[in-house]
Amino acid sequence: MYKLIWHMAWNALGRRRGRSLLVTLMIGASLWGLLFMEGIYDGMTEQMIDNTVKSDSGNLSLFAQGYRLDPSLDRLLPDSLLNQQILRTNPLIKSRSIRFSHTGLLATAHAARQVQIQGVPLEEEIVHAGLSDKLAQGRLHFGSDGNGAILGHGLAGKLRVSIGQKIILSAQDRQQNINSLVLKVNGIIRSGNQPIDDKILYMDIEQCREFLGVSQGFSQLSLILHNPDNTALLQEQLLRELDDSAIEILRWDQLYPALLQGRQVMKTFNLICNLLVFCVAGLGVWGVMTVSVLERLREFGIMIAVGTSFQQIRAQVLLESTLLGLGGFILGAGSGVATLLWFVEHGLNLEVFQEGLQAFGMDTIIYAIIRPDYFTTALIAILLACTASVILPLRRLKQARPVTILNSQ
Amino acid sequence: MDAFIEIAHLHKTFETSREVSTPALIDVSLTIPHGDFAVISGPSGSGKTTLLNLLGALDSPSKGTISLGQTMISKLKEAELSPIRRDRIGFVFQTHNLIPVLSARQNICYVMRLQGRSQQEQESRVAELAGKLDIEQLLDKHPDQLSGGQQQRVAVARAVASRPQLLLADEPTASLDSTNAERLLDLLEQLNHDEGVTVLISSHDSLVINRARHSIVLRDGRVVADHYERNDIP
Ligand SMILES: Nc1ncnc2c1ncn2[C@@H]1O[C@H](COP(=O)(O)OP(=O)(O)OP(=O)(O)O)[C@@H](O)[C@H]1O
Ligand SMILES: [Mg+2]
Repeated sequence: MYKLIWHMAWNALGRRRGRSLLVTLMIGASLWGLLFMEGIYDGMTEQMIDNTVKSDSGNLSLFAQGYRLDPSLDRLLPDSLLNQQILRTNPLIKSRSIRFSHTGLLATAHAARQVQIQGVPLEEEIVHAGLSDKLAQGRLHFGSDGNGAILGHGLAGKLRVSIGQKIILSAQDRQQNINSLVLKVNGIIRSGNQPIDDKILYMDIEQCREFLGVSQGFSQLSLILHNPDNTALLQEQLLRELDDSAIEILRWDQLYPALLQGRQVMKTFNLICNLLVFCVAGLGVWGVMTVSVLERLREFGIMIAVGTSFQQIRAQVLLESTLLGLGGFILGAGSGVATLLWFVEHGLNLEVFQEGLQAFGMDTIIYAIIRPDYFTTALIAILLACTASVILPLRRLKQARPVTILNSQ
Repeated sequence: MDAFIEIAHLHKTFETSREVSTPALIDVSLTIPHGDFAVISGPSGSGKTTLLNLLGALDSPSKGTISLGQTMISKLKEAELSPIRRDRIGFVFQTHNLIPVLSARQNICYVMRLQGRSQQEQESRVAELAGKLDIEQLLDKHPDQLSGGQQQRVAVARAVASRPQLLLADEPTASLDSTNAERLLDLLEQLNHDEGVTVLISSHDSLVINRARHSIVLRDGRVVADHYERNDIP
């Protein structure tokens, strides 16, 4: 019996090959578009989050209590914190980096700008922030004398400095004296996080402490986890173990709530896209199935006259529309995966929109993301649309007497 | 006389609109015995098609009853009717009898497949009927590749392939020339004889009417004549 229904449905589609192909293509194309958009937009959002996590917030960041409201040199985390068991040998933590931050003024012979001085242990920061991938010019090195500096791309541009050039950094130290130091530009990075790119000056943490008259301590400990899903868990652990009257422990989404919102906006956006595909598939299949049911009334009439039950005809029509939908899905998902895989590998180069994108903390090359739920959601949407689209034509068939169906046209 | 079909006080009225209703059959009572070869004739609009559709369980009467064997089909629901159409009745229409997406062979097998007959049984039945109806060469063609007469022959094969007790044919010769019409009638007679199928044909074609053993005449929805020819009374 199933074989017969299958046979009939397949034949019916085959007889209207052009039309079947057209709907399949239509569904396929809109699904392709959907997958492409989902993949690229998610890629953008995740890249934005990733850039921020790496260059600044980590999955979790620790600050001395009060530092974020009043970032003074007196509010530092002690070096001893790093020896705490929970931070030293925690299996959740993938990498950590300490940062010693202060504001200063960076000057060339022609221009000066306020900068965020970031004293870092370079080796750790390279791993932690993935700096090797972000290097735009020069190299990641503070020089044998420790007087090298690495600047954010935006800052270097505004000061019009280039690799090898000398710059003067001035800042007020802990004793309220103004100190200055000549540094050499060794590298320029593009982190994708605009506040960092516009303001940051990386220098050796020891050099920085000495320059600012501090013997020990740091302003921020940034932690990146093996699995970001454990962020809240680790936060809880740390809050329990560490003295939270002295230490503030914040997740990336607490530090950058807008990013989390961005992610949610994307989720809504993807849902709307799925709805659109649902409508396109639904309308396409509905149009085709309505026409094909109505123009086959005589055929169905004969089938009923020779003893086919309504259930069998319903199964056949449903199967026809499902096959159209599945065809479209396979086509769309196949081409979508292929396209996305390419963009996962090579990225989508949006250099034309460079300025706008960077203002949002995005890179000019956007690497797509592929998630299984793109496909499951789309498949469900398409199958639902296909089922919904034959309800009306089938109702017309069911309500009519066999003789009416037989004599239509 | 062994009654196979019993039609009692059958009325069928079509509600064309709110005010207008067309009585198509008025108080029709008929008895058709097993193995009958009956022709329903009458002028256009007299109710022939309406009667056949009611007998084929494609429509339901406004009043009155129809029994097929022991089954009162006029009382059954749509879901209960499809097995009756499938197993007990074969239908041949005036034109466009065949399912266009299927080949002649597949059309003939269609009802047998619905019945769940084995592949082997289907094949031997197709071979048998194809021989009788002289359609061996046509089996793999699709309906749109067949002439009207060829389509009607395939339709007859389809209608009897499932071994129905009753074969209903509504103006089966109307689209055929006289040679083809004669051939088709020969076949129906042969099937009636060989397989014991009760045959009921509607027609206003004298060619068909002359072949009737049992002649029923309708006029304006009423039976005006119902008699057996010569000594053909079964
Ligand atoms: N679906 C319908 N709606 C309204 N009236 C109908 C319908 N079907 C048939 N009739 C009417 O019922 C009457 C009998 O029609 P029927 O088709 O049974 O005649 P017929 O004897 O088969 O005629 P013909 O020889 O032209 O095929 C006619 O008056 C016709 O107009
Ligand atoms: Mg008629």
